Amino acid sequence: MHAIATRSLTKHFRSTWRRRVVGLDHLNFAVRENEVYGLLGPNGSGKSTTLKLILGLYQPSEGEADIFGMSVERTVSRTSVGYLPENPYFYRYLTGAETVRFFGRLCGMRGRRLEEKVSELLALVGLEAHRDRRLAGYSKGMLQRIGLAQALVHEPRLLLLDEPTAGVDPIGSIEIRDLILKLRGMGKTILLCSHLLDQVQDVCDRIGILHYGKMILEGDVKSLLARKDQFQFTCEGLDETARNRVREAIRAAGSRLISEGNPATTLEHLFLQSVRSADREKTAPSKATRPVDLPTAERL
Amino acid sequence: MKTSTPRLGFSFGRLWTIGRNTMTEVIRQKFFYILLVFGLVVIASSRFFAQFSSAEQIKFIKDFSLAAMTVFGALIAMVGTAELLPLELENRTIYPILAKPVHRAEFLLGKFAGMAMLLLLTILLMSLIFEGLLLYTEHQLLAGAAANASAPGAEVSAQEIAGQILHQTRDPALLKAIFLIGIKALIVCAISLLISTFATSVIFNVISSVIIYICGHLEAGARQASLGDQSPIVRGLMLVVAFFVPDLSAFNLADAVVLGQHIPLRLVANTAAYGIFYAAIALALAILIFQEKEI
Amino acid sequence: MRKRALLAVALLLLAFAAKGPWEHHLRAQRHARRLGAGESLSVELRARLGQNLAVALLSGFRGIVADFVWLGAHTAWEDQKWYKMREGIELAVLLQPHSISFWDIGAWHFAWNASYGESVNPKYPSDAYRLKVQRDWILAGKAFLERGILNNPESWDLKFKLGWIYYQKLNDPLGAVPWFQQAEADPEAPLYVGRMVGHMFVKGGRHDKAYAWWKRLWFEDHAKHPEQLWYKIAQWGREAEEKLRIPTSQRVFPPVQKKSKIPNSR
Repeated sequence: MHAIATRSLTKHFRSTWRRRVVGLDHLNFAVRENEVYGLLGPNGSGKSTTLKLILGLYQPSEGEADIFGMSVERTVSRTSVGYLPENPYFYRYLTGAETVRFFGRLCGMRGRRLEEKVSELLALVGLEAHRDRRLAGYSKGMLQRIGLAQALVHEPRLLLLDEPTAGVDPIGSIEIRDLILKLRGMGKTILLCSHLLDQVQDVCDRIGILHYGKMILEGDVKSLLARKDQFQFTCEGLDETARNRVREAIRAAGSRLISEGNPATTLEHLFLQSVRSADREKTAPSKATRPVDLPTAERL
Repeated sequence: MKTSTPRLGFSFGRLWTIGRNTMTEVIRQKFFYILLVFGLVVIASSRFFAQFSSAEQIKFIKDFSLAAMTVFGALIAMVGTAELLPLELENRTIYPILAKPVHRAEFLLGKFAGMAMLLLLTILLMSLIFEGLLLYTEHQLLAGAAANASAPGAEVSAQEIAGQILHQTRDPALLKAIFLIGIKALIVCAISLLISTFATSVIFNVISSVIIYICGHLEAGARQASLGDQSPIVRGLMLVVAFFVPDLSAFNLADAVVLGQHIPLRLVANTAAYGIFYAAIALALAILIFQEKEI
Repeated sequence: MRKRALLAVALLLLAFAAKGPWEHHLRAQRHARRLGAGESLSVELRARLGQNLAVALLSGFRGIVADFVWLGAHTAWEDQKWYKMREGIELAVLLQPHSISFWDIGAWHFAWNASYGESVNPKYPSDAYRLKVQRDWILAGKAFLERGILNNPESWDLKFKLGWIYYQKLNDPLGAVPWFQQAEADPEAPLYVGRMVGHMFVKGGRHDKAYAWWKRLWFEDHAKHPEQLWYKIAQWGREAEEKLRIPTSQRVFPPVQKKSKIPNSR
């Protein structure tokens, strides 16, 4: 069974001049169970429309969609879904704990089970220290994390995340990314929309690209991104003589050397290393300051 | 492949969760200010009439207080309710809620329940202030009555004079009047919630509610006018008014209570049932509209 | 989905249609009990009330509107503008014909305040004229109360006040008797009303009727009305027996006793 399946899902909007605007045009796609699916596209391509149709916030003009075999038009289908909206807003006068508790109650949770869940989730998203602070005093990143916590409160099998790392600092982004992978490891399915393509690339199994309400490209990330016409070696300890022999071997094989040089690390990796190093030194000030170690290449 | 879908039943627990939250939200806004103004109005009304006879003083206090309760009850209902949905939509707080397994009907009724509880609390508090003022006035009047008790030759006892005063200040029929004021406020709340399901502007909502409120008092006249010889357009308009607008004048038993007229409990119950029936119709319509609404 | 929506709309329209008969029924019930009675807003009434009060009346605040009108009458009384005061009082009872205090105090204003005020009005040419105007105001008070009683036949208070006018202002204690008796018949009337009947007979020189009345009161259940001035009734009955020279064997009233304790009002 697919976690999400749409069949000819279509949405028309009426603009002010009564012209029909096509939000989604006969979309057919499916998200498999226990995968992380990235839904991409430029602004206005229909990503949010798709999410809202899946959540029953919009009625489809044509077609249908299911969540684990249940029609999205039935309220009961949402027992299996957790949703993190883009720029989440909650009631500002509630504290972090009260917010998660409120959503837990809406999902039918009560008593000690709810209280334990609230504490567990706040610890998971790193907000235990701010549980009794009103949301009015939360930063954007903290609001994002509370959003995640409320999305997880009823232990849904499917998560819809709309721009989960928007406005979050690099460390927070890494943590959210790690969390997504952890949730997949727990058997959950994740559909995520994001403009931050590097992050999507790192965490998604499959992606789909929407444009003008239509799916224009879909597939496995690795195979989509792989450049089948080129090959790359990365090695250590190659002196200049050995490098010349390699260049010669390439020429002899009839291939064209496209580029050579020291590969660059990512800015994200550099940032992370610097900050973590500084954190370590803060906790152990007596040790002599060491220069930041830059690895040549490292897959996270 | 579709599996047979289980049903998600209606949950009063979810409704209560939303209701309680709504009450907390609205309390932070206007609640205390309105009460404060009411308190001042009521207290001021007694000072103003201190030189009148006991019957006049008590009549004024009752008239003013019950009118203030009616006005402020209706105002809180109108303004508080008109803002509920637009705020949720504007602040986008509605999305994570409706993304949960929550029926739209539960959400809407939860909002109504929250406002209803708030109105109940407001009217209760206003009643306590009103009662306090009545008791204070009663105390002052009784002290005065003991001093000048008798008409010449009649030897009226202070007890008899006191009895007349107490009969007016401790009239249990006041509860009937207050109860119906509460029901009226609930009707106004339901109407305002209905309007907010299709109107995005809070100001439009409040103005419409005020117009309907006034029309509700003319309603009886509207029915008669629709039968009389006016132009067909006016008659048609009057008929529409008579058909849809509730007869709010039915809930104005405050005047009769103040005048000491007997109001049978059955009439009060019947009137309340009518009010609840109307509110239920309005809410049903609101749910229908809200269920189709794209948010 | 469409079918369900249509069905729901049909049900709602039916419900709206049902509300009409229900409202009619409630209105009939209120009308039968004369609740919410009073002049409906007409062009004439609107002119007399002015814009703001007319709107308030329309919005269902009849009591407040009447109170404001009454305030105006009260102010006119303080300024001794008797005809303006009368206008205000008449308008107040037009708005709230079931307000006992409006009829009661209104009549007092006519029969006591206006009549006295006019009796010393230096603008009038002669004492005879002043007397005439004074009597006119007293009669106006009497007629006003009679109208009040017509509108509120269940009010013992208005009947009592009418009797009081007969006694105090028209010097007709026997004319007061039927009104005090009607008032006394109401179980809600205080006990002094009954005593006044006896006094009126005495003042009118009808000691026989006074005696019959004291006896009637005396033979009521004492336990039912512990606050009644029994010792006084006994005294008055005794006095009547003396006046009428009732033979000792036929006398019913006990010798005059010490004043019994009347429970305090508070």
